[in-house]
Formats: sequence, C-alpha cells, structure tokens
Amino acid sequence: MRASVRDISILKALKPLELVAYLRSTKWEKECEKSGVSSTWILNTEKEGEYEIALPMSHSLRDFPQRMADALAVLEVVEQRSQLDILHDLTISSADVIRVGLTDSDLADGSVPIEDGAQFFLKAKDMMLAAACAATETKAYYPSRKPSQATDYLRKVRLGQTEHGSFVLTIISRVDPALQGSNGQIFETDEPFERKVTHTLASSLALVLSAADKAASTAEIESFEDAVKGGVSANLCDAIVGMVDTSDCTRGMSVNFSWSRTRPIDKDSTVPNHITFSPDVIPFIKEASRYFKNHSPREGFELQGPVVKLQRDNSELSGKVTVFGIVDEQPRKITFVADKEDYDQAAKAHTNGEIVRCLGELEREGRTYRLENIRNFSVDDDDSE
Amino acid sequence: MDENQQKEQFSNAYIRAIAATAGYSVYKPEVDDDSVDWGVTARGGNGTYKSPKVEMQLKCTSKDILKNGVLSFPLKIKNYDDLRPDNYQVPRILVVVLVPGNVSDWLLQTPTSLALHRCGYWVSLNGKDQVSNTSTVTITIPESQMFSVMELSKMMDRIRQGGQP
Repeated sequence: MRASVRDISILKALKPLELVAYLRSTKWEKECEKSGVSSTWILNTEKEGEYEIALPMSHSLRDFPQRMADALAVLEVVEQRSQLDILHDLTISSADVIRVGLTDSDLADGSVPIEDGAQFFLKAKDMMLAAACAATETKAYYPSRKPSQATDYLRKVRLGQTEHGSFVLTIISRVDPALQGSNGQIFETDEPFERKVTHTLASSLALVLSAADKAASTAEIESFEDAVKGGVSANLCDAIVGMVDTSDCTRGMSVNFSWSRTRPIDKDSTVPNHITFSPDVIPFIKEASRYFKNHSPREGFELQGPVVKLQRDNSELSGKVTVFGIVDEQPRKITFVADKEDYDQAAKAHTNGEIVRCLGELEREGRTYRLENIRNFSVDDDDSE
Repeated sequence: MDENQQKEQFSNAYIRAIAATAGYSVYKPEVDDDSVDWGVTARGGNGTYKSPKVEMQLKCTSKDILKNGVLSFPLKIKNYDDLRPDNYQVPRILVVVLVPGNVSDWLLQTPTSLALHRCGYWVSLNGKDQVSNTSTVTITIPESQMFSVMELSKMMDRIRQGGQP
C-alpha cells in the first residue's frame, strides 16, 4: 500500500535531527547547508541517478510541514515503500525498538482476548524492569525494592502502536546518538545505560531459552543458575511466563530487536536480534522462577523464635546459632553466625527459654536456611513477665 | 464550466507551457495550502523533485488592470499574508495572468502556431509589511516582470544560488 502523509500535525512533529540521522544511516550525503534553514542531502544511485532532499532544519519555517512532506515523497520513491512505514522508522530512528509478538493460531486475526492483552502489556513492563535491574546488578531475584536507576529508566520507556502479525507490542527505548571522534572512531567506550538495558534484555532472553533447552534435557536447574550472571532472574522468567501463560499452553512468543540507527551496534556483536519461545519451553522457565525465588537471599528478613542449637569451638569467638523460626508460614530451622556478644546472649536466651529476634538476609541452601549479615540482635524478654 | 473555472484552467495551461519550455516540472503541493496553487521544480532521480523550487499563487483576470506600465491587482489579505513572510524554505511568488474579456479571444491557433492571449506577470511579496486592510491589498507589478520562459529560467538560477526569486 502506498499512502502519503498529509497530516500537518504529524509532519510538524518530525524532528529535523532525527531525519538527518536517518539519512546518514541510509547512505545519503550532505551537499550543503543554509544554517538554521535547510540542509541539502544527495543520494547517488547508479540506476536512477541523483536524488535530492532539501531538509527543513527549523520548525519556525512556515513551510516546514510541506518540506517534510517533500522529503517523505522522495524517500518513498527511493526506498520503494509506503510513507507510513518510513514515517514510523523515522520517529524511532534514535531508539532501540523491541517488538514482542505472541504466536498462537487463536491470534491470527491480529486481536487478542482482552484479559490476555492487559496481562501482556503489564508483563512487558515487568520484562523491561527486570532487564533494567539486571543492567544495574545481576541477581537471581529482585524481590520488591528495585534499583533507582532501573525505575528511572522505566519512566522513559515508551509503548508504540501495536502492529499486525498475530499480536505485536512495540516497546521504544530511546538512546542517545553515538558521536564519532575526528579519527572516525566512536567517541565513547562505555555504552549508555539505555543501551545496556536493551542489550541485557536481548542476551538474557537468549540465555533463558538456552537454559530452558538444557534443563529440558538434563532435568537440572544448573543451566539457569549459570545464566544469572548473564542477566536472567526470577523476574524476567515471570515476565516471559506471564506474557504467554494461558490455560491450554498453546501460546509462544517472539522478541525482535532493532537497534537505534544513530547508535549502531558493533558489527562483531554477539547480541541476538531475535529470540523465539515455543510453548513447550514455558514450563521450564516457570519452574526456574520458582527455584530462584526460593533460593535467593531475602533482604531484611526478620527472624524470631527460640534458640534450638548452639555450636561454638572456642568461647572467645563467634559461633553458630540455630533458631526455630517461620519462613513462608512454615516452621524452619535457620542458622546464623553470631559474634561473641550475640552468641552469649543467645546462649542465655536458650537457657531461659526466651525468644530471640534479628534482621538479616535469608538464604536457602538445599533444605536448610541461613541468615547472613546479622543486625539488630535482641532477646525478647516478654515471656519473663 | 463557468468563466472563473475557465480562467483557472487556462492560467494553469499557461504556467505548464512556460515551465515545460524552460525545462522545469510543475507540481501541486502535497499538503493543502490556500496560497499555493503550483510549484515549479527541477527533476532528480526517478522523477523526484529537487531544487531549485518556487511555489506560486496563481490568479487570472480579464479586467483591464495594466496602466502606465504597471499592473494593479487586488489580492485577498489572507493570500497577501501567506505570501509575504520571509521564512519560507521554498520561496513564493504571485503570478497574475491577464486574459482578454472575450473567451473566444484567449487562444489563437493556426497550422503553424498556438498563441495564448495575453500574458502572465509575477511578483515576490517576500518581506512586505503587514497592512491594516481587512479584505484586499492592491499589489503593483511592473510590466517588465513578465512570467516568461527566460524570466522563469533566470528566477530559478537565482534561487539555485540561494537568492530570492
């Protein structure tokens, strides 16, 4: 379909520098410039001759919309595709775009049940947040409080129009353009955070997929554990599962990445552009999430209960204290290392049958629990009343 | 077709004839604009438009407005205000085509020639002052500013060099 863009408000909204970036990235060369008014771009083709675009550089030009329409008309001929498609690419030329598509015969007409659709949007947000958390610091699970850099990032991520082809969600993550030094080399060495997030997302999704494949053949969780340092977390797994989860398990998902034209990715980059999850890998991802949550340290865990075991080799040093506490509403034995002072108090509490309390990070090791980074140790003397 | 539509069509043919002979194409603006009837442009690859370009408001009248070497044309204030700003990327002009009072006199054809009567004139209103008139502004065009093949070619050359029409 060939459709021309004549809507003045749409044409007015185009940003000259984004067009410049687009032209640069599609081999156009600047011929001349009338400062603050226009810049003239040339594309030489062997077959069709020379194309020209005189790009308006200021929104204050009264014929700005007309001139943008002219530019689109030329691009339409050069690229042999609809102005609407070109317009779409122009508005996102300085963003990484992530297209998440659901695949299911049920969605062939491009619509989705409303409940599933709502869930899809919500989980897509969770997926972006999980990637942003992993770009800050990799962890198997981000319980409630997320790094502020990640939540700040999420505020800048935008949703584009959904696209046809089953049901496709577009997520737009703007990224600053890369600048070249005078030697033609990219100026910076460190990627901006926005790009780190999208890269982390792409590589961690690929890791989830390969870990699920491995887990399917070995029936072991190890592949998922190894993937944590690559950005895989319970949150990411939950987001994936949440997007495709239906009662009949027939839905799959594909994720496509297109990288900002103004910050092209390294030619040698191994970051994948396309990841597809078939319905059969989903149960493994679900299970990995459950495992991560169970085995991840829980920050700020409040332990309370009677002391049931004390173990110390030397009375001048720290020792191990085991408390009978409650984890997930189940009675569990939790062990922690107490310094001399805390240990002595715990021993006294044990003798007197008193309850002890403390805060720390709860970690699970096989069937036992450990509390790390002990603080606020106290003995509850309520029972002595 | 009423006579006003005839004038419009006739002046369109006049512009097309001049532009074609000068080696330029004419186009209708892609985006609606009350004060642009035609654009004149060079052609680039695959028939796309390229600079130089000029856009025009085209008027046609059978009134006797040419006196003492000057045309006096009453232009609607809206058109005047659309043509006078100096911040257009593509410059704009006003073209007024004069035709005889009698339609049968507009065109003369013999086996050797086709003559369109009478003539078109152009003027740039770029940078003109705002006026307090509420309906029309009388625009004066010197008779020397004929919208001819040679004048159009020179105008396009000036625009190509970054100048005004």
